[in-house]
Amino acid sequence: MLERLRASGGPIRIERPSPQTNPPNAWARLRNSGDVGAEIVVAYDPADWPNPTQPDAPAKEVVLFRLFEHALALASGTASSEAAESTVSAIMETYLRERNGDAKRHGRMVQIRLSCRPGKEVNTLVFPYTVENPSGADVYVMDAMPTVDAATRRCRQSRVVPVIHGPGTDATIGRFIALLPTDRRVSMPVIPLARRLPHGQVRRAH
Amino acid sequence: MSLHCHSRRPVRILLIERYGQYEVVTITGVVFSIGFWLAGEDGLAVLPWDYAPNLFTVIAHNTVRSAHRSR
Repeated sequence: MLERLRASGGPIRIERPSPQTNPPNAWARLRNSGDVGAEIVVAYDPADWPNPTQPDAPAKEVVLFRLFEHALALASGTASSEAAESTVSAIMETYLRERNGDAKRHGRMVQIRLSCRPGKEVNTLVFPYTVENPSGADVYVMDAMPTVDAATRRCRQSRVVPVIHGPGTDATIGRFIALLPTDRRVSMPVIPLARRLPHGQVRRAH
Repeated sequence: MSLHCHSRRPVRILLIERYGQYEVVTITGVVFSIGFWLAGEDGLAVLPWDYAPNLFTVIAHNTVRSAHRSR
């Protein structure tokens, strides 16, 4: 959306509605009515949203997104500054779908605590670590990789860990889903096996 | 949270750059990270793994994207 606004070339200014409206409202209009190419004013105060007078009031960024859509239509001369946009556009639907999906995915933020005391055993670097789950929910922490024994064809767990060069001059190691290579299409990612860590408990591993 | 383990001197280690190709690089620190899933999240299924006790296979609508990372 921001790229489309930039590409429109028209100056857009966000201002608080003045005078303030009650119940809260927001709008987009041409600074000088009828003058396409003139500055577009988006009257919007994030403090007004979600509007407490509406039970299903949209979130503040949804309101702003709709205003930007209307501002784009004004900039291109395809909308009247007097006409309110009542339909949900395809781009708005896409935005809402991504937004709601992200909110659902990140709706419950859970933090786990890691501590690690790296060491060396002969010529091998070792990383004993402790995982603590202080959150109010149980988690499944990645713990081992599933592999197949070449001789017996039986499944077994492996302590192999993915290693990533980066960020910067660091290396990232640990127990996580390894990134897929970008130079080929791999059938499926290798998902680590997990171990249940109830809330309030600690697991020590290496 | 990710954990930074910095050594006093840069360490040269062997890293896989791409499948089957190796490259020696110098690193100045190690970031330790762990992935996890939140129990009870919508669409998350947890199945006991037949080949080791207390290990589970986690399946979700999008198993990779549903995983959290400790950072």
